[in-house]
Amino acid sequence: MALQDRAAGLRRATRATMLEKPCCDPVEDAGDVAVRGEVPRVALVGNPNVGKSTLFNALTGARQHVGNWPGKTVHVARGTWRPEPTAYTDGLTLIDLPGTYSLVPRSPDEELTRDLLVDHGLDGRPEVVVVTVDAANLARNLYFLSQVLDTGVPVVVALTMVDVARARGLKVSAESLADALGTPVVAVLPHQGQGLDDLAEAVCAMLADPRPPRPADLGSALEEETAALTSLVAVGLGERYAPRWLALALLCGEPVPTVPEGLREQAREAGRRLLPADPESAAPESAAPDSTATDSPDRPADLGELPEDDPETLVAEARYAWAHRVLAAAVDRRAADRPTLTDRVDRVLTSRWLGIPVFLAVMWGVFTATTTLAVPLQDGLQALLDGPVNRAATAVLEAVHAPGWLSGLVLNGLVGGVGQLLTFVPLMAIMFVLLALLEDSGYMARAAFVVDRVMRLIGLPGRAFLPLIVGFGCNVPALAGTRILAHRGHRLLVGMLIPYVTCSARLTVYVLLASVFFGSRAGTAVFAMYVLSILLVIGIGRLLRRVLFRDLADEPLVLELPPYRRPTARVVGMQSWQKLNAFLRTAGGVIVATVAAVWLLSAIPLGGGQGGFGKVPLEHSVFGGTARTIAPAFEPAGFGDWHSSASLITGFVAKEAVVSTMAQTYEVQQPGDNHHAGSLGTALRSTFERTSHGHTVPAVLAFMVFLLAYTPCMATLAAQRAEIGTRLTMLGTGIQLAVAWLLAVTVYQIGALLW
Amino acid sequence: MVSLPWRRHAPAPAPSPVGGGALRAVLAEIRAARGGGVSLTEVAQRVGVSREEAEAMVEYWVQRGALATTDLGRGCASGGCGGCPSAARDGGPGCGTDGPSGPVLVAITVRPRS
Repeated sequence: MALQDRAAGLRRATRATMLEKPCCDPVEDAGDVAVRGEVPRVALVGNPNVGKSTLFNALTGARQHVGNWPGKTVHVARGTWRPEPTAYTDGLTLIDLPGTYSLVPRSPDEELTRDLLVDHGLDGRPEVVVVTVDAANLARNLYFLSQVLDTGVPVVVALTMVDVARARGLKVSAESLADALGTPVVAVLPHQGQGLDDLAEAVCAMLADPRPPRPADLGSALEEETAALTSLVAVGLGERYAPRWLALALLCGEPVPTVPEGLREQAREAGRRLLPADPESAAPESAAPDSTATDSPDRPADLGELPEDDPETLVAEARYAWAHRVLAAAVDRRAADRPTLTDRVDRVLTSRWLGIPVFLAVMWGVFTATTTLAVPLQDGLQALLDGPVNRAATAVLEAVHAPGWLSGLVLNGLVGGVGQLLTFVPLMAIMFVLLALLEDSGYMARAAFVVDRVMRLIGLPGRAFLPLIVGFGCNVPALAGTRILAHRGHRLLVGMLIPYVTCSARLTVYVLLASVFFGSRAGTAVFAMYVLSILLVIGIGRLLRRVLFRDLADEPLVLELPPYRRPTARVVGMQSWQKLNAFLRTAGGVIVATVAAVWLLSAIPLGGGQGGFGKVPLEHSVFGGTARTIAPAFEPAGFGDWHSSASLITGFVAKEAVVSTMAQTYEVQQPGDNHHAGSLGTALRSTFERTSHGHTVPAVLAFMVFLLAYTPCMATLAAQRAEIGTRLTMLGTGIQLAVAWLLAVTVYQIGALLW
Repeated sequence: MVSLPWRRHAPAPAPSPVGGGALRAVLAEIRAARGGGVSLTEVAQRVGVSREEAEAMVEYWVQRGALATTDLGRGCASGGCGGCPSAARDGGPGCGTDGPSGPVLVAITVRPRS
């Protein structure tokens, strides 16, 4: 009751302040205003994206113009609104102010709205303000509305997006909302022209009988201090500013110009009275807003230990509590609170126990489907390249009497190397489409959610999972993505882990080897590499954190999951194409360059007595000799052959080049061979059988593991150096090589005992 | 209210007699969300407000500079492709992350206290 009295007193005070104005008295009868020839001004305000401009267009039609507000660089649309029937023969001037979240301005746009509603005295303010409120996002809109109510300018609420709210299960009653607010509320659908006449009627009625709005009830303690401050600022400053708004602004510590320091100090003192004397004295309890307002004591007992425990937070807190009460009175949420399909599905997909197994099963399905579906397409492309394409290239080279070195470069290098990679295009396309389907459906967001939980459990920073997931596509943007991490330590740690995330370039090698050696289980073998990649990230991450990054604190993180949706062909198609295109562009450039370099090094004889340039057997060239020097290091891992080490050398440059180097070193496209699909596979099988002494499977697995764990490519090294510095990049590279070799040897040695 | 035992929760602040405490409780819940796999819906349930209210409160704290929201749809650095080795010659993305995006995951994180 005391609150009601205070509110009534405030209304009287505001009306009295308005009556003091020398001209343009808004309390005058609207007919008088029309007779005087003055065109009343109605301001349209609201949060961004609430349908405000749509409403403005519906109300003014073509009678509008857009321009800078005088003295500001803010675009404002103004138009003439001719509601009928009305006493306003010249219509009303409707001003579409920029979308605003708050009357505590954080941009010139918001500043303009604030100034127009609270500054320049009543002459400068509109006669009525229409607050556009989005029914689907009422809480946020009510917060802003509560600030507008403080200005004392008569308010009419235009309730938009009622249909959107209904689709979300929210039934918003305009009548109940009007009762809760004490302000006229009109539901409008501007696109359909619905509710516009009612809005006009409400605005004209407000112009005819202007009533300051009922301010939001901020609770007894705050209202008491606000009322005291309001009466202080009304004297002297009430001519210029809206008194209640100014009182709350000063309480919140806003830098309002022309306010005497004494008044500021009184506001600060009021704020201090609202803050707790001893924050630690109160015991923690439930924080539900329902436990507030009506039964609260007059002085706050606990405001916690947050640095945001300031009067501004108290006022915001009170506004949200008021909004909560209004929502409870005006919105029927029963349908919205029922579990949706997304909720029900998420109970399984994001569950603590099932989330990770489901994620792994989904990814296994993706890789198995990819390898299975791609096989016939790959075989067809391989046959095309080995047959017609190769014959055509040979015929052209013979027709132009191309020298031997040029034939070797074109047939061995370009047709062999680039051709081998082209056979992977169907595979990559299928995988990108499947992943895009998962992403567009909303599942990948859930995958990130469950992976985040695992990373936290093992002590890695929460947001780290994002660049790591990007790394499954390509490590380079993933490294750039570490910049989203706030702490330098997190960035360095994740930057050192990203190379262990198996990128799509490595996938081509896995698929080639898996299809040659694992047949129908190729998908499972590829999937195992991805699982191993995750385990490596976890294991190395824990190790590095214990050794190098002991002081890292965990970072709080909350994720906002989007609802599921039916994937659209446009999004899936575009995403798949973008990724495939990027892969082809990168791979194309890298492979042509690597093929040329390998060809050049393969043409140079190692020492004398091996023939001249271009006539040396590949094995005895500079390239072959280097590979032969390295090869013994891999004997404990079961693949100590120069062909394997040669492909690992070019793999250091780029993993896309591994397959093409295999094709080059085995000379599978050399003219005179019996070209047939799978000739590279036959050569690989022969090599691994020989080097592993019959333990082919463990040797191939060891090779794949080494390929997974060692340095991804030169571009990644460059990106790593840019992100984490030279020293850590070198350290990381050394660790990668050591880990890769140790793992490969372990896999082979243990595997040889089993197979 | 869902109880998640594997999460480490700091106690939510007691209700403020002035305003109810939900606003600061949302912030406290987010600051305490160190266990991974925490959604805004769970935060809203714990605080006792609707999801829409929790979203509005998060926006408030973002404006106050206490929280930051990051669109995790692409994962690239906020500076764009300019400093990325994968950038195309025209300055656009060379990594295939261009084009339309599906439903986007939004991360709400705490800004370091000054």
